[in-house]
Amino acid sequence: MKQYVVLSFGFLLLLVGHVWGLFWAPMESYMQNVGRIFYVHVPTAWLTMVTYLFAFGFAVASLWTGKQKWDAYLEGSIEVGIIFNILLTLQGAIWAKPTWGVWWTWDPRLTTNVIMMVSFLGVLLFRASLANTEKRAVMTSIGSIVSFVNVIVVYESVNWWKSLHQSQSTPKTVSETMHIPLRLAAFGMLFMVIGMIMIRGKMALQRLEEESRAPDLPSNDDKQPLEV
Amino acid sequence: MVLAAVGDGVIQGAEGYVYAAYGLTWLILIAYTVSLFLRAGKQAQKSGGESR
Repeated sequence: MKQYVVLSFGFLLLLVGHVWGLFWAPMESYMQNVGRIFYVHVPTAWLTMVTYLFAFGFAVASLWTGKQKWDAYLEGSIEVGIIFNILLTLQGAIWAKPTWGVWWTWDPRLTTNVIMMVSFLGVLLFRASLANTEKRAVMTSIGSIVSFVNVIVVYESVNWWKSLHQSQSTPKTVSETMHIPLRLAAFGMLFMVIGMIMIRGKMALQRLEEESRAPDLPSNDDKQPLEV
Repeated sequence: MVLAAVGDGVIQGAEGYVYAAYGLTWLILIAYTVSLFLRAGKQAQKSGGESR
């Protein structure tokens, strides 16, 4: 129940932030009204990376302790991270068209973002192919830790390479009039992410507990011939 | 001599993109939340009627 309370609170904060950003915040000086996409896109970017950071933390905890609950929340956070990542990519394309004149370009920030998304998606798909729960937990954790390197690359891409994409949004680079709606939207998304991971993680944990109760089934993971 | 029209350096109009970005965001977030709710319910039933 508490996960739904957290999620609902997140939706409410996000709604307030977006209404503020759409109707009350001043226009951006060059992008005018198009600049209002800032209040959806920047929080989504931040929370995509934060969700993958949670995944990294759960992966380390899973490897360190071997406990099922960390593996379950790792699965949850990867799925939520991918949803936010897809949303981020689509929002970026919508913002790019009126500002850069194209829906897509092989800019460092955009390209590394897609690599990050595909790598975490690959981890999830590979996880689904493994029947052995222990192997699955270990491989997912290792895959997530390795994939997390992409998060750092995406974040720093605008500094390391000549990028069309603007630099990171910080209190120094963002006008003060934009701070409150931006922070409301960001905290809204943070609570939503936490609620979503709690729900999805609990589902994964229930499934893992079911699997532990079920008798061991023969699998082809070790490529042994099945005994009939 | 006719000079080519020069813009004033700001994006004018294009509010459709703003509504598309906000609309898509809310659509995806609500759809994913609903899917989580439905899947959690099914999983809870499978696990023996425990609460979501």
